[in-house]
Amino acid sequence: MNTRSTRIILPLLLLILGSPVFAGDLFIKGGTILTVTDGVIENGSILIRDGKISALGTAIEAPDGVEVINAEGKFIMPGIIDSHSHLALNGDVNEATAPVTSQVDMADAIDAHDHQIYQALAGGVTAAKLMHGSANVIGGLNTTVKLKYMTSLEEMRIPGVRQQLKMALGENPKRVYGSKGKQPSTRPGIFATLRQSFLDARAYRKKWDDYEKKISEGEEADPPKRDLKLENIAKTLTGEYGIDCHNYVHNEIVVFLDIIEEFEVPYAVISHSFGAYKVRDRVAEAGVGVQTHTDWWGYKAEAYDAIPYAIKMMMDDGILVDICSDSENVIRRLNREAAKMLKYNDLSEEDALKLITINPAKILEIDDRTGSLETEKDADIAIFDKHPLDSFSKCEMTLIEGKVYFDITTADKMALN
Amino acid sequence: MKQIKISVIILSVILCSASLIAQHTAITGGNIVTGTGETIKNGTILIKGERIEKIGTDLAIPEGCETVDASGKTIWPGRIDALSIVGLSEIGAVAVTNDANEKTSTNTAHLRASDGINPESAVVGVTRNNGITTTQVMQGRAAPINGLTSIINLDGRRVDDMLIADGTSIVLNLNAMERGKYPSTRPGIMAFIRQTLIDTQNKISKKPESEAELNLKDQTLARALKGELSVITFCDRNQDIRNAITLGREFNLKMILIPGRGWSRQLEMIIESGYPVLVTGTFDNPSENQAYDYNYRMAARLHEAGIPLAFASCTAHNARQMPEAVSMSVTYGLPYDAGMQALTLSAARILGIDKDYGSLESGKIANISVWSGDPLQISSKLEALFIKGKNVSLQSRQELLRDKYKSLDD
Repeated sequence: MNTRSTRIILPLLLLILGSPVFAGDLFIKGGTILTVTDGVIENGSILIRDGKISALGTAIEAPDGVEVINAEGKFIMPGIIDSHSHLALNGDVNEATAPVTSQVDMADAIDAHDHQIYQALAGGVTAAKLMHGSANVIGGLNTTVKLKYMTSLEEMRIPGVRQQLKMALGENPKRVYGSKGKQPSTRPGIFATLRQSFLDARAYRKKWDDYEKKISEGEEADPPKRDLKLENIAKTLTGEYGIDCHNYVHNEIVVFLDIIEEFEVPYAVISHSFGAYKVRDRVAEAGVGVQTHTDWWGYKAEAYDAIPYAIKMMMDDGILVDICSDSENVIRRLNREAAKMLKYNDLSEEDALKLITINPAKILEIDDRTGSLETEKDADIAIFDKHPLDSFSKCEMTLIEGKVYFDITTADKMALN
Repeated sequence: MKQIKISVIILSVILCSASLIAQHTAITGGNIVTGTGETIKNGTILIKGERIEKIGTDLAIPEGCETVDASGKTIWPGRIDALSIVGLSEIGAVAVTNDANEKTSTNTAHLRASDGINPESAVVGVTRNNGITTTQVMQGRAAPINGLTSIINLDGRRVDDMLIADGTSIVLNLNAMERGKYPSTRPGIMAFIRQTLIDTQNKISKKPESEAELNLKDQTLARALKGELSVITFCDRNQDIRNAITLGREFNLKMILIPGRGWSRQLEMIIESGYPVLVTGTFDNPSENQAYDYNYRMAARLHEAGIPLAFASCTAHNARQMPEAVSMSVTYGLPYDAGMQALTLSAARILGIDKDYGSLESGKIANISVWSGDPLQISSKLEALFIKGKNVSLQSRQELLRDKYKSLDD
């Protein structure tokens, strides 16, 4: 064994040996439990069985022989969820060779051994949607994963979760293709590409429907030629895939919502959406979730009108909204982004925490299994030394499905030297 | 003509004295963290004109004085962003709105940041809404040798109203290589800077009495060589830190270091140099071979070694986020008071403006921030802000947009 692999494997062994192996039973004893959906439980405990929360509250006791994590004086919250990340893709973020590349699946880029996954775990993050970039009008399929560092894509993937096809409006596709003298170089160009793609996908779907109908009626028929690009877009029309659309300004948001309603898209969410507060009545009516940021602004023209009040304005109008990172750096401190909401707005601590837990879980459609501390949910948990909205708090332990993936007491050993 | 001048002077004197009387302001009832290690509970700050007249408890409040009730609030000096491009960049990606980074030459020592600062930039109001009253604006960092910085207060209709000191530092960037063009390597950058400084040295030594013949670049560099200017140096890898310190010693420069990600590899050399440090990159992702909290611990480690610190955003739009790096540094070992100092008095010292700025003391300029709670808590709200004694508006472009769209019925 060479020195380099010893350096990698030894700390990992230490980590595994020092923590419960393979989703064994675990008892987190005596902390302040921030359930996020059902208030705060002081001096509560959590029993984890088979990777799930089997019981929580003040009245539960540790069963004999179960491993106990002492969390007295600590704050226990659901694992943080990032609905917009390009983590662990080794730079394979944009297949920027054509305005429509819906045949691409980001799962094919995911590196479970990327050290930045560990850095995100150290910030209490347990799940993320790993996404295609915004160069193309229609990019590739996003994949939602649990951050099971050093396992595999198969382990990280959440079974049964609908993938979302990335779309992008505005400056980025305009710049990428406009600079090459290609469509789209304008917003109307983008929407023409988008409408044409939906029309082509609808026609493609119809060919297959006709074929399947004939076969089911016992008729002979040749199957149409399979086209991955159109197939994936067509699946957004049937709801097999969702859509995640990158956008900024209010007018393009309205046009996009009109188009997905025209094509009866069953599930779509929108990203960044800094202008959404200006048309929040329309956004609320469409019922799309919004994945955005607290106080980013001004880095480009379409971000100039972003305001740190937008999230609260949208919440007040009943829009499902979350705070996401879009950054390997911000993903490590999403709790601080949530705390910033309290600076600019009057809202409860629980509502602030929802923005990085249950709300992204809903947007990613994984809220039946994660995003809050409730019995029967996956034991995806972050333990902080102080309240996670306290700016001097530190994540000390992160568990996914009852297994410890980050422990501050062994963290130093995770560096290669 | 002369008469007009005299009347203007007389008029100004009258206006001035009138405004002085009107500008007596008292901030009462707050917990005043002075920045000199003292906290005055339930204290009062008496402002006269631009300056703090008195500070303490049981102060007599002059009649007719405007009073700001700060009961239960925390009062800090205005915070200082030690290096930014506030006022030089309106929209990051839109070139015509940017006046930072004159990329046309490898030596832009002849430029001054103040020539580009837009007092009406929306960034000014947004930045001060996080309690930042003062910043040192750099012209840029795109070249190996960059222009003069300008230290400004974030209030004023004209740049001259904002200026505290103009042309106090130049900026070197030891990582400003450009592929295919000299200098394209680290040794190339060092050679370029050395040769440029040597050329200036030669000109000064040959004609000591006729500096007027020096061009603008030489004039600036001559001041740096005489120790009249600070030389702020951007480093990236650990070689850069060594190179910066070597340059500093070789040319006897008043160096201020921005260490970058190589900071821990050259810690002993930084300590030995005695150069102050501007902290940036607290949130940068450490590389694979570094601990996850490597950069979170940078400020704490530098402080522990006795190095004077300030924090720098080095940006425009995210300058308001700069204090978050201080909070993170405090979480990972920087003593709270050292964090507070780095945002106030220590920053003022490094910038050379501590005679007037950086702490709440009688006689100093009244740059004062009033907070709902601990200013290092990201969640705390800024309740009032005074710049040069003026209770400035907290309605930036962003609050105006919020109010415009508060109701969608119109």
